[in-house]
Amino acid sequence: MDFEQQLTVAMRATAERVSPPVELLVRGGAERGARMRRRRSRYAMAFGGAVGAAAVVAVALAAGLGRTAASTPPASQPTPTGSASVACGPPVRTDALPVWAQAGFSNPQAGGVPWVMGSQGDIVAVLFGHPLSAPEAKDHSNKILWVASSEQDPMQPLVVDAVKDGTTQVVRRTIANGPGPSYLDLPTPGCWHLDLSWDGGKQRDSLNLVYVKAAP
Amino acid sequence: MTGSDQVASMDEGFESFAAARSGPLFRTAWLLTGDWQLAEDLVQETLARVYLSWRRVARMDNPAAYARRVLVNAHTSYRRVRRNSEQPTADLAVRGAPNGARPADDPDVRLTLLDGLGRLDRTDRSVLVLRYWEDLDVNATADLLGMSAANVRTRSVRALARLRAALGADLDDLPAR
Repeated sequence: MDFEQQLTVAMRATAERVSPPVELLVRGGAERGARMRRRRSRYAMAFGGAVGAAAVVAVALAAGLGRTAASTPPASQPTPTGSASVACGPPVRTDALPVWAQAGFSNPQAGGVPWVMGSQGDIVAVLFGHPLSAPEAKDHSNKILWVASSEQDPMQPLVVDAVKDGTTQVVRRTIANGPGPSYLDLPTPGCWHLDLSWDGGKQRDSLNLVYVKAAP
Repeated sequence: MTGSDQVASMDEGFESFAAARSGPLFRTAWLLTGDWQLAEDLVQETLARVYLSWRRVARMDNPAAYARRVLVNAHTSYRRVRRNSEQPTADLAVRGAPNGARPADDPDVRLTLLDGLGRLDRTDRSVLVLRYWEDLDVNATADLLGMSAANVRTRSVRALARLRAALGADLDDLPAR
């Protein structure tokens, strides 16, 4: 028996001796899926048509109309509360996350976690790595949890096209599996405008993030 | 059929699928991660995403393959999140398996292989698990991992060499134990 055959046998021996907690997995998967579905339903009722409006903004961006259009929500869309930063809005918030973004947080109503809402209200960036740094800080990483307000195809990535304020070069980052946990490292400190696309391009939003200069 | 009947029917179909596939998915997740809780989380996330798209998934020729792809994608995402903080280790510990839920016999065998896999780069580990546990060919493995077939071949050769070096004669003994 050669090594590859031995490996096949060993993997079977290892995997088949565990007893998967089937009931827990089925119940947990269904409950998690049901929560996602409820979030999607609430979103559909509250923000019907937002996807189309977001797409229009994204197309405008792609046509080079700039970040002013992206950071100005249409009148029919929810506007992030708080005072928008002139330099690099919208602001980082630390109050309670939107209900649809609270799954998985042990005490979501308590707030305290920094987050930024997309200009269309379709996605939240939860900044576990706040302040974000370029290059990456020595004491923490640029960890961001992306939470979308509606269902997306898990087969499609979240594509982030980042443009630093005052420049035109696009830095693309791709997050497999769509909105979810990520490390988002960008090349230099400054105000970055992020054009976000997920669910195969059917859903889009944008937001600005500040990357500070990492301490030496 | 009323709306609630349709939901009930859908849930019933999903639950049957989930009950049948959660075991194999968990075993794959277990080999991919070596971490009981993470394997549970990956499978639940996989089933949740399948649940959301169940009407479409149920019509697929091979829903099980779709679920496996979702699992691998979920694992890839997790892997990227952890890439700065998680390194291959020589630590023999396998984390998180609750007492009573561990393999019934011969834990040394399991630790030996999982330890060997744990010393590999995580992509190499995924390649080996998909090829030798899921029994996928090079092209199917490449498709699942989003890399070229040549890269899969290269990684397979390298990972096998490293695993052989890490396990030494232990693997030879596995079938006989």
